[in-house]
Amino acid sequence: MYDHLNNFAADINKCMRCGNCQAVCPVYRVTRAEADVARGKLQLGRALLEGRLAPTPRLSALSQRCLLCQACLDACPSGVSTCNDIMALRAQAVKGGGLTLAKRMLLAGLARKPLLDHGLPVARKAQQVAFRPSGPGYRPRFPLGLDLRRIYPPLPARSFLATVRERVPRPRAELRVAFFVGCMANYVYPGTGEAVVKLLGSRRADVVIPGEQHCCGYPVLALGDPVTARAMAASHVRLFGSLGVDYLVTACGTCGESWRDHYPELLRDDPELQARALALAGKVRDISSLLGELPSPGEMLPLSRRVTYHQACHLGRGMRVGGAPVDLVKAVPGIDFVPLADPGRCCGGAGSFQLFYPELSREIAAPKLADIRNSGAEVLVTGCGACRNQLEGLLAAEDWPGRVMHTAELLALATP
Amino acid sequence: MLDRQALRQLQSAVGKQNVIVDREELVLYSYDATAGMPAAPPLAAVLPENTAQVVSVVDICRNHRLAVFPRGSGTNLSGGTVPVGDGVVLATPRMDRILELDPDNLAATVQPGVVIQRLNDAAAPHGLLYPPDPGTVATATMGGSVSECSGGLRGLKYGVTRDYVTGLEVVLADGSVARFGGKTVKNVTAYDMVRLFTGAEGTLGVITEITVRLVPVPEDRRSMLASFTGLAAAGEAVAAIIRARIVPATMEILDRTTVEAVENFAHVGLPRDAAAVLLVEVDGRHEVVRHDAAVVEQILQQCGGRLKLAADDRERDALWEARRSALPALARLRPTTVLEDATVPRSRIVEMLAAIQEIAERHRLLIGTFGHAGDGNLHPTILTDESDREEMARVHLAVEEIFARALALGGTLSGEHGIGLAKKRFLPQELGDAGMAAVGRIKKALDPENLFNPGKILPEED
Repeated sequence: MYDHLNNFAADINKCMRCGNCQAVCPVYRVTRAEADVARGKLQLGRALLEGRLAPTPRLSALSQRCLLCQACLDACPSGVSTCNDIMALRAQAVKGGGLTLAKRMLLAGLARKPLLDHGLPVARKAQQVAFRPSGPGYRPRFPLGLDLRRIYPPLPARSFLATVRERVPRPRAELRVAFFVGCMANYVYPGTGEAVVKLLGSRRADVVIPGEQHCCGYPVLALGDPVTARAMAASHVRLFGSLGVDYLVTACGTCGESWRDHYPELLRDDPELQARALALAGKVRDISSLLGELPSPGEMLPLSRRVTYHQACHLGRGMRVGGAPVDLVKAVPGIDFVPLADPGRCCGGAGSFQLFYPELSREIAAPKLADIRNSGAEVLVTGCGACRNQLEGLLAAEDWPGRVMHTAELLALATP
Repeated sequence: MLDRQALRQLQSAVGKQNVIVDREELVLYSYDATAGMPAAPPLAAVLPENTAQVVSVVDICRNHRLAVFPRGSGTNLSGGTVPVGDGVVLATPRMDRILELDPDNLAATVQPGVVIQRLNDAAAPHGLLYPPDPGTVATATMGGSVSECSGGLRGLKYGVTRDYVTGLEVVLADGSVARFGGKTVKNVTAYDMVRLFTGAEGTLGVITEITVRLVPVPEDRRSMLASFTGLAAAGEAVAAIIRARIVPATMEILDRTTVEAVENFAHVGLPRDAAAVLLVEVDGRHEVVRHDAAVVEQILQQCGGRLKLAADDRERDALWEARRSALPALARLRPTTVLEDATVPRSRIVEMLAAIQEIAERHRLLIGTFGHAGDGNLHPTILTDESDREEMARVHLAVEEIFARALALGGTLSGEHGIGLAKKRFLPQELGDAGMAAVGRIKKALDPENLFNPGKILPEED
């Protein structure tokens, strides 16, 4: 599906070029360049489809400059599926224009789990050599193509999946839940994974965590490689399809969207597999929305903190999980919740975007950082590991004294 | 291809990062929001950051005999920013500073790249408002909006862009910089050059600074929605409100096709059997709003309207959702949306609506009409498919007939979108030979080499 731009021609042609996306595009707000806004991307696609442009490296590079934050999706009067169109544009552009070496390396890593698994201890060692400790994390000692001003989280010694059992049974269990961990919780923030398992246990759930799971494939799809993304989707649908669970829980909006939207789409050519993907899609819940649906576990431990919430794009706009995380946080005794002025504004992290466009990413983040500082919060929670990574790094570099954590981690702290 | 010397000069004038010459990106400066326009990329697009850079660009282009196509956000609906022939797009989004907000003089001065909404956001803390509110208020630049003299929903009471622009800085064709007008309410010094450049669609010069008048934010407002089973009754209600000497801030009308589309799309609770829906808002001091709202309600009912009122802001938003959804709801029906803005005297609005419906039926086209009943400015919206040549031929015929009808009713080709490329072939019908010649002489006097936005408004030169 995503590997042929032609499949998206009708949708691309729905764009009436009104330009309404300019008002909400975080990238356009900084650069004011037409190439950076959805209208421009869609017109690049149209020109490519009509043969007015060829898939050159320049076209490929232009197609990559998008956060896929979905703000334009909500603002589009014609209902164009902007983000899907842009992913298909990237796939088409990559065919002729290729990707930069760094992006190809990232792709290779995400597509091959053993590479990441074995790479983690090496990366951790490398971090201790090439980075110096700074605040809550590390700062690069040398440019390395990374942002010197920014602080990166310390990598764990072992991935979450290497430490957790495949089945975490609970006596008198009332439901059975599969946990899809996702890369950030697996390789960077294992505490998120532990928190999710604890929270699910507190709700009388048997938790199943298949050890063979890997990256959901979205970053691969987003970089323009739908063929590899399809293989990743197929392996996950096979792995999770036979577990007989009531729910499939994610701790990341993007992983959730992969399961709910992209897997059925990617597997369109295999009706049997697609049917299994669709069945699983109906069971997908973000951890916060499942906790909101299930009865409360009873007494919670008080936490006297002033807390605010950043709504990750793919969780809020994508999975339509809006109020649940905030309600859960507010229900913790002692917590003083202070909302952000604009909680749904993109932080500019957008997965690997912050790695490849550090300056631009920082400019996009600036209003978000100010919003967080002005809130007076001591703790920022969010439902996305990539947002956390971005905000933690940038806030620490500005000596913000607070802590950033996954919503699940805060809730786990309050769970006996 | 752009001459290498010209490219080097442009790059040194505005900086390499502000000059676009690669083919891929230039495609993105070949269009605006108008359907069915040619899409030939310019030779270059430059995004200057200040007036001095604009002067340099104009000088370089004149010396190399390249046309200059001024552009804001590219959201206009007249093909006004589409490049025609060899030239350079001069886009102003990076000249986006609000230079001064002067509450004591009820004035603001901005660079042309400031988005209209940003000016309003800056004025709001002072209790002030910049009234022109085209549908693109969140995206259009002030420079583009002034150049097209855009209108909006509040035209009836508050007028249009030209009623608020009091001063301009303009880069002229010879590269000189002229300033006209200023902050004063009164100014009869020489010709009204501010009004000449307002709505000139970038054909006479490049606007580099704009001073506008602001008004106090109204203390209160009240919205009412009424549905009618006949068009004539809705028209009578509009006339009766004006006869009662009430001037609502807005008086919007949606026709049957639009009501149906809106209801299918947004489910706002409009009666599907309505032939027309009127949305009226009065604003001002509390007492005035109370009085005016009561009179309007009474008239709407007397004319057979079924009323929906808004008690608070939330309900007001719900009523306005119907109007806001009009274009999105219609646009989703077919791949291509041709949005016109034929305008007639307020008293002829029912005749115009009926004529549009008749034209739609005769040419077997889907046309939804909504618009500003209060000021006679209608938006017949033709839902079609650009790739269907046979249907597009019928669209062109229908458009011609809509314009002919508007002129016959004492109206005009364009209420707020401008002439640009899209409507220039109709211009002689409205202006006549003498009018066309006068407009041509003004253009010739200010831009003898046809440097600025050639091919717009006027026929191309031989």
